[in-house]
Amino acid sequence: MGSRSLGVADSSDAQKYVTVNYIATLVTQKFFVAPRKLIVTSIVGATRVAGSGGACTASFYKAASAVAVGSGTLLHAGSFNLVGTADTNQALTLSPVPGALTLNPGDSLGYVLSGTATSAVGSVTITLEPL
Amino acid sequence: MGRALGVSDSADMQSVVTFNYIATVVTQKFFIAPRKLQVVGIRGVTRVAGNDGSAVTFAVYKSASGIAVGSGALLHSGTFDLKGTADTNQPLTLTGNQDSLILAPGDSLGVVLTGTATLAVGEVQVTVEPL
Repeated sequence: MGSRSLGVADSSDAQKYVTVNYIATLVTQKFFVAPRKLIVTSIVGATRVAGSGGACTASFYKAASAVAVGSGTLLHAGSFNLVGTADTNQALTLSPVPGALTLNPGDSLGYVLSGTATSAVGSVTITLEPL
Repeated sequence: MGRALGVSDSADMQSVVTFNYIATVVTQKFFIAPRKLQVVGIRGVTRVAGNDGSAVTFAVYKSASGIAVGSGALLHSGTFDLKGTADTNQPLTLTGNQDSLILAPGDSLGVVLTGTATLAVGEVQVTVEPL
């Protein structure tokens, strides 16, 4: 994604960022409700402290109101590894499925935790653009 | 400052990244830039002042992937006081080194905690603009 040309606006100029900062007590949950139609353009995270409770991952979904996170639509391939190398970015490959990355007003972003996040600390940034 | 209707300026493209903390906070990254961005403001506010007997502060850094927060570039002078007066803004003076305020894609924002954050609750906001 390139930088903008001064005086020439593009959609990436209107990006907004949603961050999930987690500690070991995190659970599967929603963390953002879209106030308008948006598209997810990137998901990248990093651990600060790698979990020490065995394999532990987070997968990011969109879900409509009244739908549990894990019953929604997965936004990417692979998963975010909470046991990954500290301070090192993990960029998730976004879903190529048409419409999967589009949030309608009222849709939520959330994550599903697999495993036990013992000692884990870190952050994930989701980038959104208006549609 | 509000924009004049019909007259856009760079502030119209600002995004605010918020780091909400409680007493369990540790030194960590809390945002990963998906594109080139410039930090144009850092301010924070305590909701509950920490009550540890010693100083308790945050310093806000940028750092690249694979680099620990405190090994990155400090973005301001002074520090955010986690024992500061509740609900009272603490704006931080940005560094005069403009290069330090530029985030390349993949660079992170993070906080380095000094002291023990007993009882502390609050938030730090970083305002960024696209480049």
